[in-house]
Amino acid sequence: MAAGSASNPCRVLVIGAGMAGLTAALSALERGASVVLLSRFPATRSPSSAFKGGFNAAEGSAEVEIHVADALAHGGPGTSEAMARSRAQAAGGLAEWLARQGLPFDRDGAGFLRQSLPGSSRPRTLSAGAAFGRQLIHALDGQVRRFERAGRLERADGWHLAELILDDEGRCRGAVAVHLHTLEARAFSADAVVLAAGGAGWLVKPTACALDCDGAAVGLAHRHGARLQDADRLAWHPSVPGPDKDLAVPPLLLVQGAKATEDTLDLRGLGKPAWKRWGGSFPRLAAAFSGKNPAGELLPLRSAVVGSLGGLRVDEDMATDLPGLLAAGEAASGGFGARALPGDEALAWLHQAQVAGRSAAGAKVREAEPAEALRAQEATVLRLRAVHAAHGSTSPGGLLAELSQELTLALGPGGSLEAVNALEGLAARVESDLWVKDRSLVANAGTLAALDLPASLAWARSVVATAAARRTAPPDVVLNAAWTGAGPRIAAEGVGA
Amino acid sequence: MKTRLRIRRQDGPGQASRWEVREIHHEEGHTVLSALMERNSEVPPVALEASCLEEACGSCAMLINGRARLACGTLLEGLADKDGLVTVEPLSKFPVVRDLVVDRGRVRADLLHMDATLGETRIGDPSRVQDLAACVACGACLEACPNYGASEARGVPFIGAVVLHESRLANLLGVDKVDRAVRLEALMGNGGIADCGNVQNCVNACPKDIPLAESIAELGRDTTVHAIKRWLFR
Ligand code: SF4
Ligand code: FES
Repeated sequence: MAAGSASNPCRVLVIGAGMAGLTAALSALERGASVVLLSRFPATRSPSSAFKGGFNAAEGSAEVEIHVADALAHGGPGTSEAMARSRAQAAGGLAEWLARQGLPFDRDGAGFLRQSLPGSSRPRTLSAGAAFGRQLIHALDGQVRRFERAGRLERADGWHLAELILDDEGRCRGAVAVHLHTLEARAFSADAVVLAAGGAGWLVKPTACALDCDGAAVGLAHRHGARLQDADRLAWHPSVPGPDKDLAVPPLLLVQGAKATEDTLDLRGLGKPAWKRWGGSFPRLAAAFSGKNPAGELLPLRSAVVGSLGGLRVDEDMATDLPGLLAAGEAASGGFGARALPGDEALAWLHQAQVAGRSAAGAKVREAEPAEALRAQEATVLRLRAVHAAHGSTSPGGLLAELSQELTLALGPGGSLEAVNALEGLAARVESDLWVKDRSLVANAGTLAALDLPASLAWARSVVATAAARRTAPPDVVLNAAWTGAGPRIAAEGVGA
Repeated sequence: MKTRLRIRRQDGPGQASRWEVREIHHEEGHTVLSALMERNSEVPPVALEASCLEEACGSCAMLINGRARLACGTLLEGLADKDGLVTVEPLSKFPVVRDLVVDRGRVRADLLHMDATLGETRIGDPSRVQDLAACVACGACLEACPNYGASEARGVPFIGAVVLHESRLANLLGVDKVDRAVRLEALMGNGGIADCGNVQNCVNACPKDIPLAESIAELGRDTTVHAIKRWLFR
């Protein structure tokens, strides 16, 4: 089908332009829909661009079954067998599709190079050098640009999600976003919405995630009735501490012979070419941040958060509990259980995104109802005004830092559940004690953070309640279990919120 | 450790800028970005762009002591000049939105205009393609280029190294001959490859070691061949 022809009148709004958002957009475009791709930043700046590692793709049905068995064994009780199987079965086709989009997979002769990550009984992880995420974003962004040039896709870069548009029946019909530079509020109406705005890994410390992984979009959907699944479960990975965040050790560097213990990383056994090929800028940055020379010294190591394993609960079509809203990527639950089989994270995100794009392109088309969009837009403008009129005593940054502290206590190595009460208190203060001192209407990050706070708190309270219901410490915080040989602790059955 | 940070601030588009000097306390391993973010508990905070904090997303490019660098990977140590100052400014080739935030949207518009898009692709040498696709779109190469953002020789501004490089990569990966011809035509037009003065400052400026000179040379050959063919088969 020619890129220029919108053969399907369905209008899809994709929120988030990382690997999941781009994939969902392409999937909907391939089915003839037209797409608005809304994102805080251009795709090239998305947190996905820092994703390392690769993704698992087994070949042949016997191998697929072994893949499923590995995922179930690794995730433990609460792992969704249906989700593990559906992504394992889709993996081969997905790999071929990605290669066609221009993703330069590492090759071994004519076929894909397959490596073994911990937990996998067979070599099945595909990679693209040291910066899988960067390579993925480059290829998918180039493909999306083609549809953009043909007029099938509109990019809305620099827009911060502020509100969902709901019709009278409570169905999601789009979103209102606020522009990062001008604070203008704009309504984006659509027949279906795909939320692919990432996870919440920045909020729990220590973290190796990007600043923007603040879970605000998931919180907003949750506030409107979309339920969460396993949202208290995080992915932890060996990381070198840095000044503002940690640096996750590239998984393939570990596979290639870098040695991790609970608190040290040894790169000495690897030659410089391997450092570059499988480590990219990691060895240089880790040296700069730690003040150690990895050619002769051990680097300090600890466990840091690299992503969310849970998120919005989705069915097999990626529909959330909020009608009209689909979810994909880190924003959706992956059904991983206590830990994701290394290499299954990106597979899940991309597979879900393809499915979500397909579902969205099949949504029922209806005449636009400008009334509800206007209503949501007005409400957002009023909230912006209210934020600037607030006269409390705590800055949005301060409240967010407190929120992050409580989440860290609840979900981090301590697993303390006292945060439940503290979060109640915080929620009250968001209503009464907020003070945005900087009232500029230009590029005001504080104002946007204040807009997000109610949703972030709703999310945090659910997540901590879930963790409390599980009544067990988070499992993989046992330092770097999968990668250092320490035995993992497996938590109880998955709990929803 | 103590360092004095000299920051060029600006409240909004088109407004006058001013210098502000702040004393920063920091530890070994701290970066220019850490220092700026720490400062941000004060009011009004310095507006800036940052996300990955590990040189992967290109957001935090700014002028540090006059040179475009990624602030999240630039250590403070050893940066101070003889007066003990580290100077931080927004990139100069893009319109300032506020403080250190600039609008780099032009790069994306130019990519679109040059049709640096992908369609059906061929399988190349993976590690070669990986090296070429490692650009983080930071704009450092454009900052260093004397022709980028200079007076518009032919009414259209020069697209600069990164867009030339991405066009070359699209030629390399793309299978479609018509696409390639369209792209080469666009590159031969105003603002395209002919406006490159071959100064090659871009090569040294790039934090990701993208072989920009090689890309531009290859595009130069390809556009020449294309022009000759077009003339022969007219
Ligand atoms: S080519 Fe290099 S300097 Fe230019 S935008 Fe890309 S990474 Fe930055
Ligand atoms: S914050 Fe991403 S490159 Fe600096």
